[in-house]
Amino acid sequence: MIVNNINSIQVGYKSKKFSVLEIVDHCLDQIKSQNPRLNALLTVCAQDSRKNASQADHIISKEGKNAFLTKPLLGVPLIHKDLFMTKGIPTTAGSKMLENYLPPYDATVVSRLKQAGAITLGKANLDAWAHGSSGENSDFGPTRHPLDQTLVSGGSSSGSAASVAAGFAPIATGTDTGGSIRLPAAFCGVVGLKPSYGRVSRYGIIAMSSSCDSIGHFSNNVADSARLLKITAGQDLFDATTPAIPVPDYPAHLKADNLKGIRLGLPIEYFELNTDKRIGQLVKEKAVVFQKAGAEVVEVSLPHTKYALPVYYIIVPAEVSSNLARFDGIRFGLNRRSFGAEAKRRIMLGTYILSAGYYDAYYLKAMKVRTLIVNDFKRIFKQVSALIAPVTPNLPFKIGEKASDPLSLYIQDILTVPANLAGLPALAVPAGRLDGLPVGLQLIGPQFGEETLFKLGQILETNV
Amino acid sequence: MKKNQLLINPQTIRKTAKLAELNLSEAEVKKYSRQLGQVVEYINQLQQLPTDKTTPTSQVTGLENVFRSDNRTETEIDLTPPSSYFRTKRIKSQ
Repeated sequence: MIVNNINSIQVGYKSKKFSVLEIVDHCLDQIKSQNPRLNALLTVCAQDSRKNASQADHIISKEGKNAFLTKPLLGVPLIHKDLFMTKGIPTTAGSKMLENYLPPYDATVVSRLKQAGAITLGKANLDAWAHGSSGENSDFGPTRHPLDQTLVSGGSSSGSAASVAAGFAPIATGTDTGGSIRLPAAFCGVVGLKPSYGRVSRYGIIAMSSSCDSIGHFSNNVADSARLLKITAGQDLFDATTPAIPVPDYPAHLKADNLKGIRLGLPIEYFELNTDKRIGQLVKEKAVVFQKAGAEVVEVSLPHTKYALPVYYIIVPAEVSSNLARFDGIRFGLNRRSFGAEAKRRIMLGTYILSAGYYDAYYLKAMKVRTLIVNDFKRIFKQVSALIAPVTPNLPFKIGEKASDPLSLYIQDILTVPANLAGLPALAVPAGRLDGLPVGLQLIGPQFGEETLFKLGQILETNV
Repeated sequence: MKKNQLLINPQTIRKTAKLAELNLSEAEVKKYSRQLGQVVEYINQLQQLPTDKTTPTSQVTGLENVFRSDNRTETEIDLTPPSSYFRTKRIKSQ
């Protein structure tokens, strides 16, 4: 039974090869047998998902193929990062503080996907409050890599990436504030999309850094990523940072016959900051695929790249300390003593940075350097249509290896944070393997230029 | 700017924890003094960049003053007070 992508699942439904209930049961079986080993899911909605599957089967038997026109994700199993509010389903943010929290409403993305017919199977593990790059900061234990239990799966959307890689569901949602979708996608060998800031509503998703949080998803192929974005993207009156820019028909733009006249850039700084040089080498080798399709690939320079990480670790903790101030023990969950070590560390750092006497030296300075980073990208996207880079500086590492040194974990984000600071879309696509472990290739595009990334991603996918 | 090793001392950590409404143990104070000192040292590399003439970026959408039309909608949040209230323990000491 091939259930790893939307198309093959729905073709099966339409041809009566299998029912929605059979697919959901198949996914639940996978979860039951593998989740104790991977710790990718915190909540499994077995009963509700089986009930929803039967309902979907009923709709299909009544309306036939037409049912899929109004509900493009009808019967597609889905997993949500446990940062997304799901009405009546526990939402913990990976923190013991919210262990018993039941949201009174659905996040906009959750309700849009539900409306499209997707079936929520469960909620995925994550670094608590999305603070982390490895999945180890979860108060409910680390998510383990599907290929090797001794390795991290990448974070913060650790359980979402591992779930898709392990076949729990064909698609999963995630958030990316500094690489939290792209990094675990690259480590686990799946496709991860970080849309442009503002493209997808943040409403109902527990906030980490309000000027960087981007809402995206995981899938096993680029086509599914495009299909999902068409549903989740677009203005939401509950999130004032979503502009009224029309949502393109992303899946329709996938079929690129050739890339003639398109110029792509290899940003030299990304290859310098990459510590395992074999990753950069593999990415450069794969870039030849685009040349063969007719694109011109040139080396470009984004001189402020190395400052992106220090800027990020000023702006983000500052916004974290402010966003987590609402968790005062009165309105949601337990009191502030129940914050984990990393949450406390970021709250402390942010509070220090914003405190009297340091604001100008740190926060204001970081906002200014952020401008320089944004301008680097603006300049470069006048010359090239997209950038090709590694996602991660190294391969997945051992659980616990970097636990005692927060800074060495922060450095994992070095190649992903620039896109967040500039609000740009970026797509992580599997590019091959090294030492038997997946390696990701990152495509970064201009603001609201997701179409180009899907087009390029699919060319890469068919040639790996 | 003064040397960070001096800035992130246990006293600074205690003061910051108070501002952030966090109760830290002495072991945590010691641990965070060291770890935050390292991070601050790392982020200090920004000081080498001249930015006197650069305007700060606080958001990337360029959107300003986003309002909806002044009409009630069906999805308007129900603000009727709940039928029963509950008491919590005192949260903040005096």
